[in-house]
Amino acid sequence: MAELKNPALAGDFAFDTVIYASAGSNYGTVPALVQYKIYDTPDPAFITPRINIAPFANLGSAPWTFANTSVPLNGHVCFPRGRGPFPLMAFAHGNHSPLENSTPGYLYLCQLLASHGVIGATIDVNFLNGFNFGENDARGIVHLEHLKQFRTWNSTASHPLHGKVDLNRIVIVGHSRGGEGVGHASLFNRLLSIKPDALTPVVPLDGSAGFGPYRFNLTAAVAIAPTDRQYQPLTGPTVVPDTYCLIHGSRDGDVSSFEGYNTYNRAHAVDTANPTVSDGELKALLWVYGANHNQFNSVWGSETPPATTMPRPDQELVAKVFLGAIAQSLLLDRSEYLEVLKDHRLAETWMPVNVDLVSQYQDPERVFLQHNQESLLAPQVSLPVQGTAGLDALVAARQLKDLVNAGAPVTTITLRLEWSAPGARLLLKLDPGTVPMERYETLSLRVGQSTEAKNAANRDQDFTLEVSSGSRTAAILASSVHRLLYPDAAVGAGKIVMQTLRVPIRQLSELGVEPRDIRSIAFLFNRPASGVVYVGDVQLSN
Amino acid sequence: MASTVPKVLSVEVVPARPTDTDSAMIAQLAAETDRPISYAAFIVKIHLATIPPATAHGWALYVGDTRIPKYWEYPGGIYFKVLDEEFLAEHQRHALRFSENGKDFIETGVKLPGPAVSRERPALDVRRLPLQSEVLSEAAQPRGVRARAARKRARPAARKKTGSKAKARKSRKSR
Repeated sequence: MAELKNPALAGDFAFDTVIYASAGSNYGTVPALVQYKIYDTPDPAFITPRINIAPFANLGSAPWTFANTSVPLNGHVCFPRGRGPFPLMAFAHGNHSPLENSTPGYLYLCQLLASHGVIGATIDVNFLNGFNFGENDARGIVHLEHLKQFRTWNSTASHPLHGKVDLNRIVIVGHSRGGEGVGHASLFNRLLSIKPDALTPVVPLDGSAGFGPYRFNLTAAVAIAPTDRQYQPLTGPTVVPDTYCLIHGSRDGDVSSFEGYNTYNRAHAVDTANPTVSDGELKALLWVYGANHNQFNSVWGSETPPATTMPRPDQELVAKVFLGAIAQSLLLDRSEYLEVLKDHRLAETWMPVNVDLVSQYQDPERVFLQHNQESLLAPQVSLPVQGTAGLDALVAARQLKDLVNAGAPVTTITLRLEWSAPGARLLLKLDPGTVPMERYETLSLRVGQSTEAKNAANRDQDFTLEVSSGSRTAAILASSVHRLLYPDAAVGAGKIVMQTLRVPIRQLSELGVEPRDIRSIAFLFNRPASGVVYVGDVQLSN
Repeated sequence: MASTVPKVLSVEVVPARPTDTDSAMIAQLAAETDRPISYAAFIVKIHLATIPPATAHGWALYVGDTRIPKYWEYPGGIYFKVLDEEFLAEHQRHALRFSENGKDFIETGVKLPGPAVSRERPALDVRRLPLQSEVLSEAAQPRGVRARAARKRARPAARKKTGSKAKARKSRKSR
């Protein structure tokens, strides 16, 4: 999309960067904490209170100068010059050596955002770091408490940020365990109390005990290489209620299991009892071949050998494009950048040369023609659309398969299709009267290939999508929409990350198909001669 | 990440003085469960041969089939805090296990000791209990060295304890 500017390039806003911190930490008195000394002298206008996180967390064994009853609100904020109000994007790091300050690792993103008119903040959660486990609820709480601080500054007449924070446009971003934390924050933001776990009493989040009230109008939660389910609410795995975006690298040497895919699956999933009902939120993911875990944070050393991983500047560029597109589309109302989340090909010229990407996108406005979540029985057309699913020389099985080696119990069903000769076909026959084609602009499906023997190693997979109305059929090669990449099998078995293929209804019309009379959609496997693919769903979408 | 599971040397339960926040939470737990709960914080210390580096990846800790919601690093290993000794009584002698995924479990070879106080004995004298910071302070040393020292000292040290901490640890069971 030539007319769009690369969101990874600096914008025109001048901005200021300040450190905010709670007084009295005196990190400088402890040699092991020398990296935190910068928080001993915050900007005088940006001195923050402390919070008591004891109901959620203890501290690890680093020689902190404070207890869990009085942890500081420290961070860095880059804010544009001008009247505002400006949207806010706040980053939280993940787990790392507590003696290394992880917080400045997202300043490269905060500075980019500020140059485009978005307040970028990166928060200190280092006191939760160490060989700890299960503390990601506390990471979410700390994240929300930082947002509260921005709300306070925004409403304080004498403060430099007075009236400059657009509290209706906030994105929370977390990396690693912080990425899991933003999911919990998204959930907690809507609660008035939480019983963190079976061993802890109920904690009010209404302000009566120091936490909350939150109730922020969160625009999105964004997770960078997140963990999943290390903290488990008593109510079950966290389902992110806000728009959810996810980015993860195929060479992640820490969260090598792509656990965030489970978070992604749980978010905005089809309600089989009310399949036409959408919660009004979108979700999008970007799977980056060659990216590792640590290089999304500019101060973390790489956890993988350089020869196996994309160079750090390239990985930071991918992050800038992805986060930049999110900021442009969701925070700055430049909806044209939403197309980048819908189809990463639009960002190809902005990305590092020769980087392979896989993306998924689910629009809030969608109806499923086939979602596969009814049962493990034979594939079917999903209600309320009426129709049948037929197989021709194709072995089809709906499976609870762990596509990405995420490890946790799998709750999302995927359709596996295997063929051994050209001409195999999955045919979805539809009753056109039940297909609400007129309300949607796109036929959208998710397909990915595996490392199973029937797929040639390191070769793209392909098939023909045939859409028919009456006697007219449009045949579209999947590869003309997107590559179906062979999994990155350099580490482990290779993860099956499905690609969303979005075919405009307009394109079908141009090929002679009458959109209001769609009678069938077929997957024709005519080249290569054999193979295995996995199908997540088939939707009509905007 | 296919990291190596932490090697557990021993486990002990140490009653400690509750913090103000602990006390408030104990009172609330007592109200929620509608039964009295001792005003003590039970620190379950799990001595590790080596403390692994801090990464995103982690190992969930189970006592029997119960997942311990959270644990924390201290210089000798990891610990978790229990405010309701009923939990310790219920899980006494249950095996400590690690899991990456909730499906596959790795036995540590140690079991959870009892609550360190029996229900028949008088209530703990909070004033005589050590502070949690005392319970959790061990000479901070480089982790590799630390592991060797812990391995050598873990068992004899337990027999030589004196004073209030020793009383508190009297019913400790080593592995």
